[in-house]
Amino acid sequence: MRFFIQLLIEGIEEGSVYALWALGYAVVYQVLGLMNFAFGDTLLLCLYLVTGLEVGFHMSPWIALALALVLAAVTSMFVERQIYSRFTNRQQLEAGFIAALACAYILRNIATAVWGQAPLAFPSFFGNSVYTIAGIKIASDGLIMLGIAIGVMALFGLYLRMTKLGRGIVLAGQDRQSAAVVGIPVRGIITVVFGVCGVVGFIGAALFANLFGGLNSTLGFYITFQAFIAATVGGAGSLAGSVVGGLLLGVIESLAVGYVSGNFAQALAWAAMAVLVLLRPRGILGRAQVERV
Amino acid sequence: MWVRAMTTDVSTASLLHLDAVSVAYGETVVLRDLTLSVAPGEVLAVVGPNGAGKTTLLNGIVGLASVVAGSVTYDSRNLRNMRPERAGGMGIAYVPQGRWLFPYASGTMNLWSGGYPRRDRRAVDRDVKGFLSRWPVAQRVSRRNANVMSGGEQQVVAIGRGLVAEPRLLLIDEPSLGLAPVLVEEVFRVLTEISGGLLEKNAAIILVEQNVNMALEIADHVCVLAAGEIVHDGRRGELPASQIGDLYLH
Repeated sequence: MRFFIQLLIEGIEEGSVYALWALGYAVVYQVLGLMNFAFGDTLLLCLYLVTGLEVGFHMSPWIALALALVLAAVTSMFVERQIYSRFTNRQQLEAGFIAALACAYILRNIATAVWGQAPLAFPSFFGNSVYTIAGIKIASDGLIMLGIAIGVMALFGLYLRMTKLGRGIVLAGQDRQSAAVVGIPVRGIITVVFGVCGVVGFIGAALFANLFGGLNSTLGFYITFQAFIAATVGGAGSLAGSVVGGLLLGVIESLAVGYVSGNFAQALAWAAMAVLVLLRPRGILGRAQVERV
Repeated sequence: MWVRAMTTDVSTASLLHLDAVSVAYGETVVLRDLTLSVAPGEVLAVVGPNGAGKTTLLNGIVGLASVVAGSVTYDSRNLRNMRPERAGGMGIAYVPQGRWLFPYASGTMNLWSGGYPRRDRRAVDRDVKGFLSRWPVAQRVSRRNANVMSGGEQQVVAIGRGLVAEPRLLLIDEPSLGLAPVLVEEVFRVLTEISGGLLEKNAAIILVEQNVNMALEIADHVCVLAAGEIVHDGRRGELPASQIGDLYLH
């Protein structure tokens, strides 16, 4: 039982980060219908920048992190404006998807061209101490990660619910044509969505890199796939669904590592998610798509 | 003091003026060579059979269909082929056929969305509250998502959303379509009252409706469309409702 609780806690901690990734992915999908597969590599480039500035320029890691956060928003918006909009304006979503994949490689290659192929260390922001409570080991960095992730989710939720722009994002996500008809500036909102989602995703990515202490060039696709899977399992139309999907993915992974093997954990978790989507095609909290004839 | 030169053409007296307008979806031209005007403080009813192009007319005004010939002048500005999201900022509110509410947003949020282009957020909140307290139908669904409202409830909220936009020109498309007769009456009660309020503020309304009798109760001016052309255009009462019906069959 102790072992199970231990795994559950670690799963929830990692799942909270997947939830942030899933949110960043899902909001874009909701508003644009585009599978943003450059999502993870945009964040990857910014993570490399954190390490690059710290190591290369002896910059304080916190300042490097702040600069990278701004870059995450700017890069996301740039990719949307310069690349995606050429496809989405014509409703060419399949072509946009291919462009997103190409874009992912371009961003990853920029990172590896500057900083090399070899894995890099990522600065540790909180240090770590481990407490044992009733036989269960609790690591402080995991708890801090969970706390920050919950805080970001809460702020993001408040932003979407309480601010004018946030409400515009939610409404445009429900029905773009209605949004245009009531005078919500959909084009501008889409760009804002990319910026905000870049920030939310980057916080998740930085927490993850901080926990594992390192970076490599495949992390971008890993983030994208985790986000895509968590959002799909949770229900792509529902933001609460993305959070549930992320947590579930984290817990299943953690249980698979503990009870089966670290080697197969990823495969098992993704297979379990595939079965869940088979059972609930709309996702756990998903809802029907709006169609206008 | 500088006095700006005034343009004195027909459009100055009207809020919206369409001159020889043709409207198309892609390659298909639906309306041809249409000329009509709406003055401030006036309700124009556009009636006509299915497929006459009534919805296309409204879509052309707000930019959801392309105006391929002629000019659309609103408040002495050229509207031809503007993007639909700009209409709201110019004081044009559209209550489309089928309502187009946000399905997973509450009645209150749907009403609120109508005021999106307005700057004064407090005034928007006040207008939303005002509408809810005036109309019990809307109050009942203030916390319910639009996808689980009845057709009549949706229609009242959709009209309210148009009103919260504080429009100078309100376009309403087939508000009675698909509603039970008792609900049609309710919807028209809402419509009559809000149109009274809007006209006092010198706004104008274009009402597209198949229910000619209902439309004539509100309208000052009636335009009959058939097969993409205007077959009658005149003041209310120039032609009795029964004869308007005959025009459908020409």
